[in-house]
Amino acid sequence: MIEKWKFTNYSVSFVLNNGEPKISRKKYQGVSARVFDKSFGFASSNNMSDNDVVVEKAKKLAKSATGNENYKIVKKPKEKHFDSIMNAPEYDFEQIMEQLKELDKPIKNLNSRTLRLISKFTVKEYEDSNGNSLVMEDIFSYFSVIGVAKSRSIMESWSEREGWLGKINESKLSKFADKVLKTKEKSEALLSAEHAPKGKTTVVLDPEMTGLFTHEAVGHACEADYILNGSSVLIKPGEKVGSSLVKITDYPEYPKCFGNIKFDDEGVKCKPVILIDKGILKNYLHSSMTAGTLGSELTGNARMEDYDSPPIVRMRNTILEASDTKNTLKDDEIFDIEKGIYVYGMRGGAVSPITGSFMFGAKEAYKIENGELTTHLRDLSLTGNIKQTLHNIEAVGRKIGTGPGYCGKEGQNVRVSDGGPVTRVKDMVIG
Amino acid sequence: MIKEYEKILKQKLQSGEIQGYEVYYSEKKSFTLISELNRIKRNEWDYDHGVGIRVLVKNKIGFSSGQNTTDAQKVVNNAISVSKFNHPNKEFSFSPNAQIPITKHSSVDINSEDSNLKKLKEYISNCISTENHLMSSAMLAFQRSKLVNSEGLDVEEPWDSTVALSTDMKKNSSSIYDYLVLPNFSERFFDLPKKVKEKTDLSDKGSQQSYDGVIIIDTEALHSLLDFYLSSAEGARKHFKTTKFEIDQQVGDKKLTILDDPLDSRATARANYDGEGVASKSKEIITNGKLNLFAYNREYAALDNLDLDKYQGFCARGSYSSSPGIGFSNISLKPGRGKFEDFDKVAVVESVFGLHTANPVSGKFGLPINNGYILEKGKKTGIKDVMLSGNIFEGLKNIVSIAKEPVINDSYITPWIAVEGWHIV
Repeated sequence: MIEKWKFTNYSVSFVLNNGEPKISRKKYQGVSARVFDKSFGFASSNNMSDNDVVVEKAKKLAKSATGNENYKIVKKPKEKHFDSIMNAPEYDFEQIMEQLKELDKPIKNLNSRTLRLISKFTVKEYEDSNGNSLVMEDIFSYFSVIGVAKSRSIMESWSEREGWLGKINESKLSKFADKVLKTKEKSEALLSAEHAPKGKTTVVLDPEMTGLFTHEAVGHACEADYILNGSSVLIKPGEKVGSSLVKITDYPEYPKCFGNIKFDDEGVKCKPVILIDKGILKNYLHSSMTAGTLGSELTGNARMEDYDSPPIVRMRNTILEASDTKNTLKDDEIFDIEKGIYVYGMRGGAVSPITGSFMFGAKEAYKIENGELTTHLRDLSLTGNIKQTLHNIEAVGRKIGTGPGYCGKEGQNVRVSDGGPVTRVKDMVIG
Repeated sequence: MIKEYEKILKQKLQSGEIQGYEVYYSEKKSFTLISELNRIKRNEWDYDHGVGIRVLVKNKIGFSSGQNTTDAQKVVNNAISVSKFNHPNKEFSFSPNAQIPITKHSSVDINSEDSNLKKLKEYISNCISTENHLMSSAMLAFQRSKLVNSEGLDVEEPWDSTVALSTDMKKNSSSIYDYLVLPNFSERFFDLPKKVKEKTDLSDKGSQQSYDGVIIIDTEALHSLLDFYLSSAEGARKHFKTTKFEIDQQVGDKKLTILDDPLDSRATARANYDGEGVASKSKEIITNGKLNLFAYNREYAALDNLDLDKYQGFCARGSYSSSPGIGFSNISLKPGRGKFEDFDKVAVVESVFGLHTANPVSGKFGLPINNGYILEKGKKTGIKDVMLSGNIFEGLKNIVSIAKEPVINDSYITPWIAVEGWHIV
């Protein structure tokens, strides 16, 4: 099968770094092709006249690989989909920069601060030799603020972010004043926080950390390309891999989420995928090749960052929920423990799906003593094993919180969301 | 392509619309082979070229990029239009014209496509045939660049190559990933799978155990940590006050001397000039633990009112389409006399991951150890499911010893170091 892509991107970024503005705007585009013949040949070029060149290169590359007779591509349902494409948005640079400057005013006395706003508009064109043809419009914007507070030789930082589908608009920006102010309050408060202790303890994860665990530890391990080559610990559908309280789903569309998509980059209509329900491993996330080879249904999880990166299995919006709402607790009930740590805000994470080990950084933490939050803590990392941690979830809250982010895999970044409620986990290693 | 852009910019310069300009052209070609289990799963080819231009208008810099000649007028107008919103940089000027000696570094012939692919296949076949092989990738990339500006500078970097091999081996629940990146084809690529297999076997027999005491940070783990550490010596962080470093401050142990050397042709960040066309020169960043200099490009040096001829040479460009930034080239660490035999018992951390979770401001990190072991009386015991925890700034002030032999990988030429004060938990 021959597949062809053409991407045309327009991006603009606004940065206000310690009050110093910088704007950049660019247009870039390219074409690529992929040919499957027991293995893939993929070729890309940003020379727009290379349409035929990339197809020929991809054919040659597919032939020159040794291939694997077990690899199969699932037959995709016919799709003809054409978004009505608008023009790339034009922005009033002066007005947007003035709004950023207004947002920046209340945090001017921080040691350092950076406000960043980007918007990207992409027209994706896809067609394959089976007659599928799609033209999709993709537009998203992302705001972030990072503040650094300093007291003598101590420096501490805090960041906030928001991502949404759509262009930058005035009313959206005005809603970020609270986030900017929080950056100042939190970074300053961290200056007097104590260093986190080391050891094994019960932790309460806020929705952001629950989301990080869900995405990094569980979501990645359920990507079928890892299953196919035996590099995931979650290899047996039907196996009890965690607490009965837990349900984890990868949604193509979830209210107000940054990872929302209708079709994936192989032209497949996206479906929600239940990964774990009542602690039992149910399904995996698929591309057309992993679905074909493993004999599964298409899920619409093949995504590419740009024309020059082949589609690989990716998440969309990955959410942890209670498998039965009857088993949820109110937040104050979750905190009602004698001793533990409340972990708030994520500072990134890393996971090895093959060994099941993961590590997350937290923005801040608090000791929990007899149900109360007491000592404020900084510089906390969490580490653990995917299955063990899933089994150790002992309480799940009610209110789902979600957050936007960019997920990196094989050098490609795509927009995603993750989330969940406040969650309590016993026996986690902190350091 | 560069001529069409320069023609438009020259007209703008003559009409007084701009004070100066710079055009950077880059062209890249790459081949990648990806294997999974016992077969090659995917072959890739990529071509990418374009220009990034900077204009100076009323003492403000504007940047834009393009990938063809038809859009040249639009791209130039775009750079001019965004410049007026940018922060003023009164002291900035583009690099003066200079005669830069140009050395052709690569021994790989870009035109020998079939024989190059054959060589990559040999490397990857060697990985595939190694017991416990899981995934591997072999890549050959070529890049060339050219830079002209309104000061008369006109320099061209010839085609240079980078060869990379990475492999991931698995045994039971243990998996070890390692990589090697060199400027040219090398016999060293054939040794990589064997080494990774040995590490995987050791890890498979390993266990989870905490450790306090001297820790040897082997070269691969050190490269990750130095990347993180040296970002505090970047001029942009000095300008925006997000670094604790000061000139002449003792930022590391007295044994620590770090050199930035774009002229060392053994490592991949070799270059005849930096991203602003400043002739390459080797510079000591840290001498005996004291910070000698912050890495500046001309843009940030001008913002900090520094002498541009002195504080420059660290301009890095990701590609033609990204605005020039600051970065180091080849980093080398002055060797010492350390030997493994100096220690009765020592933990050796060979690689870590998840560095993006570390706090670049406070220096605190907690990183999962991908691969490590305890060495006691010559016997290795693998460790797994543990984390290296500490503070980068404190740890590098407590260096116990530095090894004699440097290892070259990617843009690093460094021996291992042994530190005190970090923990394995």
